[in-house]
Amino acid sequence: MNSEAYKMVENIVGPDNVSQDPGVLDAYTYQWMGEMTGGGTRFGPYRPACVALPSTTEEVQAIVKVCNRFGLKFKAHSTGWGLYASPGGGGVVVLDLRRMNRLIEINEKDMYAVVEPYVIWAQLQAEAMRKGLNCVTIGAGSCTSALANCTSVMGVANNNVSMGYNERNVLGVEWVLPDGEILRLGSLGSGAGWITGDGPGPSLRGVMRGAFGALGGFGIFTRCAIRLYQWGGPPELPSENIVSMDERIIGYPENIKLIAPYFDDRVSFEEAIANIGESEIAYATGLLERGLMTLGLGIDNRQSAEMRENMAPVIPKFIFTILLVANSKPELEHQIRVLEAILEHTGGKKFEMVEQENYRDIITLLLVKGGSVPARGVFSPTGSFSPILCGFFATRGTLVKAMDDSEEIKRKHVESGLLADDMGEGGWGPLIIDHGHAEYFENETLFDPQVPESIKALIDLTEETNQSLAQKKLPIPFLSQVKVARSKGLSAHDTIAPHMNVDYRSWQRKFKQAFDPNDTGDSCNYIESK
Amino acid sequence: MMEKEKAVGVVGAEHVLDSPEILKRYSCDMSFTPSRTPSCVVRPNSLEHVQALIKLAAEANTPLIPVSSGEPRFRGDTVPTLGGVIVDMSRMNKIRMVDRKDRVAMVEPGVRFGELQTALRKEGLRLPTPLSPRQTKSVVGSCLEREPHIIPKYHLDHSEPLLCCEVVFGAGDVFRTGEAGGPGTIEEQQQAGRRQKIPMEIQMNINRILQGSQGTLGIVTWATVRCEVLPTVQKPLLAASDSLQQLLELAHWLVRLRLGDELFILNDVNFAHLMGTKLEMVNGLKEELPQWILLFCLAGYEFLPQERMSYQEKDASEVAKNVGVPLYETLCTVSANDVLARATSPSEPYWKLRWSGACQDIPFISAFHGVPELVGVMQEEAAKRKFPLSHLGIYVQPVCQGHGQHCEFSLFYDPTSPREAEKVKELYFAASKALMDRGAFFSRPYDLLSEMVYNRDAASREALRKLKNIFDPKNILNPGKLCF
Repeated sequence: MNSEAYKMVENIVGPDNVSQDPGVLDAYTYQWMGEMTGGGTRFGPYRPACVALPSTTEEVQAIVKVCNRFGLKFKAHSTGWGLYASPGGGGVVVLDLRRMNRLIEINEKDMYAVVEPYVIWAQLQAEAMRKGLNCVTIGAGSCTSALANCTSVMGVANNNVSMGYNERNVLGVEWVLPDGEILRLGSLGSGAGWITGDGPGPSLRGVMRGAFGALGGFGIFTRCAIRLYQWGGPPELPSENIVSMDERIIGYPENIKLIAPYFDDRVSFEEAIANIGESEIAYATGLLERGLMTLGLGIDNRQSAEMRENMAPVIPKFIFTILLVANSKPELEHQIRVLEAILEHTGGKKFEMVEQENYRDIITLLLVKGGSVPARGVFSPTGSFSPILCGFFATRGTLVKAMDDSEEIKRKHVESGLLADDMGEGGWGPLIIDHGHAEYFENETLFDPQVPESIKALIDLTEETNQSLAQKKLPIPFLSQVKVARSKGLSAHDTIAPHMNVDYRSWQRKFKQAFDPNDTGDSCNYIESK
Repeated sequence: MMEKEKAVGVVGAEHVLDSPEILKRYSCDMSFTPSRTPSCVVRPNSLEHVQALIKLAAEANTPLIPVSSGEPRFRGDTVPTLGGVIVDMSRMNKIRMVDRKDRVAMVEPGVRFGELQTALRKEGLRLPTPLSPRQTKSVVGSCLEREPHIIPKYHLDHSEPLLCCEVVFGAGDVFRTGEAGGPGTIEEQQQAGRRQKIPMEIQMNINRILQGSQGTLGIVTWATVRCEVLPTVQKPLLAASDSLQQLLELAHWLVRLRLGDELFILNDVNFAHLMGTKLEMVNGLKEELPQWILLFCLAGYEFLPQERMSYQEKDASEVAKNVGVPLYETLCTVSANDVLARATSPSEPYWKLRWSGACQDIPFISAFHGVPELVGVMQEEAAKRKFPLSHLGIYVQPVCQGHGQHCEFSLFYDPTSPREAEKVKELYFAASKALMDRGAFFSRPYDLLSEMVYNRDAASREALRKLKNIFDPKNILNPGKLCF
């Protein structure tokens, strides 16, 4: 990096907030799933040119302008999650946004919060709940950036059923474009507050993101408003034995109820999901499939193995949970009776074991807060995991096909012994989005990041699954495909586009060219300008 | 200019119209947009027709103005600013698919609300509609305009209920948005069980860009729309007050707690215009009604519908009691059932024209706390110009599940009086400016207000011009609108 450029960045943020220390820089290449691009190590191959920690939009803008002037690339980093967060090439200035951590406003009547990039879901949720409101805490964890989720990445959640997917939960946005200009989306740009991100006229939210964001490759988002929703539970949901498998809620709320329905087959299971969606009774849905659940429940791998032996036969295969959160006693009673009617209609039964206090509490925390069960389940047995079907947004005709497909293909790969044996049943879901208008399911796969053959087995499994989906004319899950493509040095879009009836790449590339004329954004996960 | 013979070669002579009477009908609408006569009207009937017309227009540098709704039109967005050819999409009027299981319908631009509702009802579905749309209003047109509908709990986003669409850009390319783009053709997707419901592309969302573009970026040839389950039971209720704040508070909690489906607030003038069946009744209602009226409707669906209504009514009554507003089944001889029926059905003649002959709307979006103040601004501006408040209709629609308020002022007037029309025109501009100055957001800037709106947000204007250059580089689609 040119010393003049570095000096300018230093002048912008101050010497304490910029670094070229190799140890510091390497930390920004170390990411979950980095081993897919790192030649057998989780450290990605590209060390940043420098790391800067701006604290205001103006500082972000100034750094981006320096990058434009000196032919450097830049990449935004907030809480970081996955190989997408690491630089995709040399000469990248990483802007670590951790100093921009202010929760600026909670508007109770219009039900939104204005946040900076380093406000995490847990922080936002804690403040919102005190005002009787709540937000969508995503499966990646309540420790992830709310702004990054809404503007730049993806992230589905158990409570998407009642509060929707976060692509639609973002309102006004402040966006430093790749050329250093500031764009304020919607009402914000007209000085009319944060109430909407659409207009005037065509909505520039359509440039900002689709089902996925640009993963840091298309400018930097410095503030945004996020929708909040009614929360019928208490202002706090305190618990004890935190970060253990025996975490307990202190005083389980009376207007919350957890039920775990199970079914004889996947068709009835899906019918029940549809009925639950249309009845608009659920606050949250979903569960870990029994293969994954039993891998992760024990305090160590030995106990997990024992639990799997003991519990797998006991836990039904076609099971999920539904959390009811009511605003009144009559509402909760109605929700319970509707669910019972749905189970009668679909042949479902209640799995009573989950209603026992120990299971009930930890699953409730998972569904409300994004608790510790998934992280433990997916990381502790082998050291890492990767979801297949990551980004597979389904509708009623397609969810079951993808679940069947992924399970069958995965089981075959598990037999190689290179992936953790979850019987093919490592799924998280089903998630219901917008009261049943869409559904989501991903199949987590545990692999050993220290064993190259295990990494390869994961990539082969992901690729075979995606190919199978494409052949069946089902959507290709983008984030899964990114991993396959990046491991081979390819663009994910170049591997997806041949299956499409329109070449969307040309339009996305035109966006890149128009809004990033100097090709300054690190677009390894977005699209290259040529 | 595109030669008529070439257009005839695409759609056939009977679908290229250029009689003076026809051209006059497309040369103006009920807004104050200056009239301009198009050279002809063409009526395509397929994607291929639209593609061919765009190609011809590009070759001849001829403006194309897409029109999907029938008369009367109001916003000035389909009046040809620079002349050119009207592309009337009304022949493309097929309902291509209704799917109960996935709660979705696929419609062409010529399909209107009444036809679609009838088809949906047979399948046990409904489409949330704008407040009593005119009978000639296109469903696709309404969706592309981000017209809000009256069920805030199903108004998930300003883009609702649009899902996917097929579009021909001004650049000539065909594009299918969201999951309709693949893998596979639409037929292959449908064989695989997909119903074109996921509206987002991978890293962009072209639907959002098309919405609000007033036909300046592309011409849509079909769209899928999100439908909802038809209730098995309903119970509408009314609330009334002389305090708008009180009804806004009630609306906030009903929407927030998801109590009821349809919900909107009208002032006495709008309520009388919507519900009056005779002029005497309209005038009588204006005199008798409280200033503000709220309608909301409880509903039950497939499972335990009566029980659902029962608990919802109990909870809603508690909310109303806390706000201090009584609930009624009938108000000033008008039953809530009649209001619901009127609000959810297309109207003919259009309710905004029935009693005054003309109407100029001022729609915008506001934050919750801004609504009473903005109503005050409008009333002040009206008073300054001696515009009678008895001719000022006000409609407040909580949108996006309560995340914002759509406000719409309707200036009712007699179009045969040039003096009255001139006064309304003056008020329209002055009030719009005053409202913007006080925080109203004009998210859909129509014709004459566009410059005023975009002057407040130069960065968005520049960004939109980049998009225009991408999708319609020769500026053949509806030139002169928005900031293009």
